[in-house]
Amino acid sequence: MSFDKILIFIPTYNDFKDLPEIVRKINQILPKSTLLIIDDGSEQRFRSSKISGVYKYFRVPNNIGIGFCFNIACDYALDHGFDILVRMDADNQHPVDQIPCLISTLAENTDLVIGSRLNHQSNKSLSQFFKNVIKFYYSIVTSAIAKVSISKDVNSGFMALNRTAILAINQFELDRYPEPQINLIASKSRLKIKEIWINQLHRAYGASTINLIEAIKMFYHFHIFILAILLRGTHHVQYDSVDC
Amino acid sequence: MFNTTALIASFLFIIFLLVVIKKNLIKPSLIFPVLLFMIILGVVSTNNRFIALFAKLLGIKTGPLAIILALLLVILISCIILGIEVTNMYQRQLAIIRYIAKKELSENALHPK
Repeated sequence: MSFDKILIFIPTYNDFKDLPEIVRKINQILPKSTLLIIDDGSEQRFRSSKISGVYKYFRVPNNIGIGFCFNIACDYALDHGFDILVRMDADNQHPVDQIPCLISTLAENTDLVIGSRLNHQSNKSLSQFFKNVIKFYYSIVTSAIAKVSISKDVNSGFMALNRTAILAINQFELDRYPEPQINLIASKSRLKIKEIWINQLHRAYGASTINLIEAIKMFYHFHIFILAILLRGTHHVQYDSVDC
Repeated sequence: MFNTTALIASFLFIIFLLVVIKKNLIKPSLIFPVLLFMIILGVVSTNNRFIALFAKLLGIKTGPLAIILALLLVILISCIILGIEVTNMYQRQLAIIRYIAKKELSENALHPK
């Protein structure tokens, strides 16, 4: 299968400092891809003059969450006939040079490729310990519900999807932090999932938006979503090609 | 016979409700029937004969308990109605933003223009 049209989607919330560097790298490594930046209602002003690369930009009027931005990116990918949607963070922690690897793995009869963070568990702090426990729990629960083994890093936001996966995931309204949901939908929809190991880079600016309160909310929403997906089920989708 | 205090309280509640509607703070069609039912229930439940009749109808020995249970049911229904309406509103808001995003992204050229 050949992938002609690639959409790289970067959601951002008050995180613009690394964008010029990310855009430059993407334009250099994947010059034919389309880059879509979705600003999730940042309070800070986005200055397009600081970015020299080529990209598409949309600002959500208020802060709704990464999941909603993901839905917008899926809409755009489906409407404009993109074969692949790559999602990465705006904080320059995801290695841009690994995107070709995500895409080549997707070509191996796969619907969703997750970039699992190899060095994410290396931190020995107590908060990291709890994060790892929760991540393991998400993974176990998702595997048990979908009855398949899934990615070990269900919280990773570095991923590539083909049109089948985009269609399956876009049937749902995704939450603020949608990664465990995406894994659950994909595995319940019987999509073919693979993972590649990546080395997450160090964050140069700012801090993660996932604090204790957000983690508890995420935990709560994950279980509500499990209930919803068990009640509503998922629809099996077929790959459809769009002539543009 | 009806209890005067309860009648005054119900009357004040109706006035409050009308003011809220007049100020456009509530969508009348949404919750008005439920609130109206609560007021009527409040007024009629000051009558002992009604309480006895209502309790007998529900098969509950203690009269006031029947009224309380009926009231709880009405509150529960109004909570569900509100929940459905809030969900609808939220979904409509998201749908509008998704529509705007589709339109804007299709029309806009790539940056830098």
